[in-house]
Amino acid sequence: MFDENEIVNRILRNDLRAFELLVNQYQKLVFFVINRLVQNKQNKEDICQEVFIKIHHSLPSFRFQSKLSTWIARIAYLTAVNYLKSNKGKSSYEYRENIDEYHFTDENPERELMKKDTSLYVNHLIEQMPHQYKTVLTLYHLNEFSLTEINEITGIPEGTVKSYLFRARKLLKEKLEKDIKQENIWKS
Amino acid sequence: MEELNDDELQELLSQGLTSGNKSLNDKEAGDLLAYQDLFKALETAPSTGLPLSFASNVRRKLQEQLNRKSDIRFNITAVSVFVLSLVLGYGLLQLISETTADLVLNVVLKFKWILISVIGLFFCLLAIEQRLVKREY
Repeated sequence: MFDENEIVNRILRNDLRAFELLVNQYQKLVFFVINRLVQNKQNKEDICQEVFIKIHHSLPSFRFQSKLSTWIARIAYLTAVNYLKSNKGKSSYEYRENIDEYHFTDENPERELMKKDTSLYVNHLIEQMPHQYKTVLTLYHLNEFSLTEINEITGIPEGTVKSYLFRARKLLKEKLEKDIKQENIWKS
Repeated sequence: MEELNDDELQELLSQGLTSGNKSLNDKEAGDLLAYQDLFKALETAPSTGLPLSFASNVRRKLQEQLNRKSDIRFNITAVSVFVLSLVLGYGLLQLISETTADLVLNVVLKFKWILISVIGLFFCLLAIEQRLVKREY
């Protein structure tokens, strides 16, 4: 079984084998966060590597005041946000200032093909959402963090996290329902 | 009965409710099913991921960084030891024989560029060697 305390202590004694075990344990968590926030496919692996190097350098300051997974997710989130800030303007989607006014853009033929695979299509819709929505959806549903933990990771107040989560899911559900209705009209 | 809104339906789903264990009207049941499908899609992990060798790649990269750091530390220590031994040697010579010490200093100053070039070359070779040596992790 993975023992956080033992692994961290071994890493602090310069045991790189223990660090490899930590990477294996948390690479999915880091990838889910980076994958959702960073659009550029080629940079995802490099950013994930950067996150783990940062984790290794910052580990001496980890005091077990939170779960190791929460601490790692925070480093991944902040690295992704910094990457987005430094690449501002290169993003393929432009978001509104007020994310509560967010709505999906119009259809295109590529999207029509995607709709056959719900999960692929939902991921495609999430890609277009503001990064706050993407983050809470990923941390809550994929990484299975609680609202309190998401607050620790992102620094967004718990009430706002909840509101982003509910609003994002409502938007997605309405979009999917609209698509199904439209498909039925075309069929009839 | 008052109709459940989207937030209430999501809350119920988060608490593990399915369409079978609560009496709902047609619209609510439809919405609940739509949310259930959405939750399932949201919980599906992405089809692509990191390569299998990711952990060992990170370890290799980290090892390279640590080696580079220790090489830099070694080079700085070597330069410091060399300079200190020169100063110490000159100091000792001054104590033993002031004339010899001045003579050595004059020779050193006379051939300073040759000495600096030799020392520089030595450290360049050291740095090149450190880069070329393939380490086994």
